[in-house]
Amino acid sequence: MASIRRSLVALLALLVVAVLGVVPSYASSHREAPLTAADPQIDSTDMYAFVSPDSPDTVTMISNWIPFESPAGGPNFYPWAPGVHYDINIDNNGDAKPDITYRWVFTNHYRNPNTFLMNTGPVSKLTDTTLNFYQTYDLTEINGRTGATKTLLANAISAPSNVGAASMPDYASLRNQAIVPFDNGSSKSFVGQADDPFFLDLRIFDLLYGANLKEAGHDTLDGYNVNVMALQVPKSALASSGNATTNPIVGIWTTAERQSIRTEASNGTEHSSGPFVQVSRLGQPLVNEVVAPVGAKDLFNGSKPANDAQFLKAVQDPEVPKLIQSVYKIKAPATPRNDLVEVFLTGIKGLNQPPKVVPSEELRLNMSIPPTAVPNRLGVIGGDKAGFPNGRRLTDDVVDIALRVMEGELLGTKTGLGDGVDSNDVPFETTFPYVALPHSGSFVAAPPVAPAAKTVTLTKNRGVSTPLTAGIGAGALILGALIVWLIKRRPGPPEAEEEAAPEAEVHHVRTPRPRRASGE
Amino acid sequence: MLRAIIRTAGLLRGPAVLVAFCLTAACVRPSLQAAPAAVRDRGGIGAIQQRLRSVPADWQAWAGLGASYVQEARRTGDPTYYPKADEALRRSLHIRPTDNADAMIGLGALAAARHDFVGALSWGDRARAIDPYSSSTYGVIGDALVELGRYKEAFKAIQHMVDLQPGLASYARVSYVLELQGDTSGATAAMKMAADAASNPSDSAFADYYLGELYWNSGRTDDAARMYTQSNEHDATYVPALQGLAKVRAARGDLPRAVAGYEDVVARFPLPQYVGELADVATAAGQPALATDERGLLDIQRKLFRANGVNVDLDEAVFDADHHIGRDRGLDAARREWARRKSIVVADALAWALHANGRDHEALTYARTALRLGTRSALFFFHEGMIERSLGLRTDAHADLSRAASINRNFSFVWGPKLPSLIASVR
Repeated sequence: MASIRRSLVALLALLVVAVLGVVPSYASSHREAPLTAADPQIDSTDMYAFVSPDSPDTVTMISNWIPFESPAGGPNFYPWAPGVHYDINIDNNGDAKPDITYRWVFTNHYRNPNTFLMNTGPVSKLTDTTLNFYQTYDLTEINGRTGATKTLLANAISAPSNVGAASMPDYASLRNQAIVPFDNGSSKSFVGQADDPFFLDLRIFDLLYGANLKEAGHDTLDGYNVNVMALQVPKSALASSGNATTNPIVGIWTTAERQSIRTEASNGTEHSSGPFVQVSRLGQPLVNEVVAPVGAKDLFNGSKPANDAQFLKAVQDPEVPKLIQSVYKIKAPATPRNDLVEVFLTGIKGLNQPPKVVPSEELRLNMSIPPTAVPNRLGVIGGDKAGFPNGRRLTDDVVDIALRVMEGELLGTKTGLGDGVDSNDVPFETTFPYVALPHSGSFVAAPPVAPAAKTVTLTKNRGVSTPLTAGIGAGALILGALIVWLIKRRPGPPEAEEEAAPEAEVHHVRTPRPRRASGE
Repeated sequence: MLRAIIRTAGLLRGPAVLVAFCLTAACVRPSLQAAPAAVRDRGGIGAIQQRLRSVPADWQAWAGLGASYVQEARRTGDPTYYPKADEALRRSLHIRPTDNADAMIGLGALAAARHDFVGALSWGDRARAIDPYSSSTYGVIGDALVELGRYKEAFKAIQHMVDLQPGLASYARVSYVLELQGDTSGATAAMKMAADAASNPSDSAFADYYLGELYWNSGRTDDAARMYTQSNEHDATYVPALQGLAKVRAARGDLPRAVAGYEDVVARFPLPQYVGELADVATAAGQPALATDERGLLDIQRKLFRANGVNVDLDEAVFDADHHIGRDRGLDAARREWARRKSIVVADALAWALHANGRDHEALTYARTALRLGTRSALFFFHEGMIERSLGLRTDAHADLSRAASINRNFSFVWGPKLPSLIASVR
């Protein structure tokens, strides 16, 4: 009997396994559930905040979620998690507590309840019945001091994932329909999908694990999308007492909260729900990579800025420079690193440090610094005070900045470190919401491959990987191995024009700050 | 101000969690770290493998790979993932032996998958000592405690899990413990929250299937069918959904297609539970030859499993008692399992095996033990009712058998159809 034969073949496979000492378990009595289900919907990837270049009386905040959205993500694509509190928090007096919280809460809608498919035909308007699945959001402003809430937007529509040209022939139009003004047109909200604006070569971090990599300088996030909530509000809406002139410095971070639930059986008809629990937190970029210790990731994601003193040691005595020293022989700056305390916890004195700051990890923005016409990707260490770590613009090269700062840029040590990726794979837009349109679902990208011109060879020397700089084609960006000493060791200045600025201006940026003896 | 911070720092030098730093690409984007645990397909596992070829010392990636394998085995039912999981997790632990909670959580999940619940609990406890903020740790601990029948501690662990990290993994567990306590509406609400929190097709298929099971176990066949169908649409390779659809066909009287559905399920995974159900459906469909074949297969299967150290005691006890075959053997099996763990599921199996051997007084004690949490299980009430019937407790038997019928008359292909006449017999 055919079914018996098929079964026996499968059994044989099981037997082979059993011989290897495995115990398959398929008793009906044993419930197995995923243990650590990925939860990208509450995974905050990046937070941006900057004075709007085309509307300098306003600030734009962009909060990104759901990393590594492959454009071909059907059939579910990338909805927001319904019911979750997606928050942008503002601390406008430096006390490490949210004074204003902007909260987005999403609701799912199916126009045809018999299918969960995103669309049932071409979509040209967000209100088309062919857009079967869509999400609306309520945007609420919460006063952190009084708890008072104010509904800014109700039932606004989020732009759907870009499922492809056949289904959404004019995606740009769908995006525009999702840009919603409020407060008499003084503010704007956009929620939807976009190209992931973060650019970096993730593998720089692998080098410290002894990775044997033959290429570098590839934007790991090239071709990926992300979910975006963008908000543009007048500076006065963020400033303490509504006065952005006297109180121009704000600290910003995102959080997400999911609702807990009780394990006790309820005797009534209603199940007992629990409190909302913070499951995600993000202010400055790369904090989880260069500051938060391993094993403390969940701790950090559930923590409040007001308790950030617990991370102080990690900031003052960071591991990254030590690893770089052990692998690449670049001397780690002396500890404790009070320069990093300013960058990560208090803001830089004279630039974006509030007068009475409680140390806490926030993306701090001095709103009084006007936008730069031609932003320097290196931001403050590039002499451009309108960029990271004074807020963060889409074009700021935070990996290079963070690496250089970790290696003592603010202490006067120039390393020129970088990952070889200096800009995003696609250009940003010049108007709100600034992020680029998402990659289309009908385009399935080939796996990323570093261009041959960028290939470099790593050599081994006494078991230590030594990066060598590469020969670069004319006009190409500087690339080396993953970490290179561009300024010090390279003759010839393909990047000289840009790099000249930080050399000249960094001392200006390095405002005086208290120095402490290392024993203190 | 700085002075104050530095003073604080001195006080904070203690915590071990602040020692090491996250440097892997897997940490740069949290999802890279999370992804392995819920990798959708072999492509995902392939990506981690590729990463490990370039960064073989990445202990977190090894742990993630191991967890992915355990998850894949759960999702596809393919046990060849288990030795791979074991190897990857132990490799991670070898590279980073001391503060490697990730690997310990993975090893705990693996032990549970192999029905070594004591071992799972031990790994969970070790992981908790390292990272008390990881919700997965409490998942490992809670799962093991549930299977060991230590419910009070289990519910506490799962409450802690969901309070640390509300999400699909914790909502699904809360749903299960509410179901065990007989709170079907609460269990359904929790599983709907899990479905809402699902972020990929395989997790959606999982949550929808268990929503279907909650409806099925409440006798809501049409609602169950809807959820099994949806589960299957999310992930056509998810076998439990196929089993759900097959049993819906049987419940609706479409026995030939039910048999065909079960043959497909069994061809994919010849698991004892599925093979036994196929035999029962074939009997009901008037295909005794097929039923005999499948029972023969089941016998071979058990011998193979047992010869290789696989614990199939529980399945054997229930099946044998149902079919009045190998009664002593079934009872021995149930007693062995009861010695290992005192869960309500094992209590029920032991009660039924005792009943099959005519030891109904003893059986009734275990039948009541099985119902001690208030679980709304048609099977448990049926077993209790049958034991009471044998003891001449007609009123109790009538109440319990009627209750079984009112909860879910499709709870068994063998007994479901006989339920009305059994109830009539104790009127």
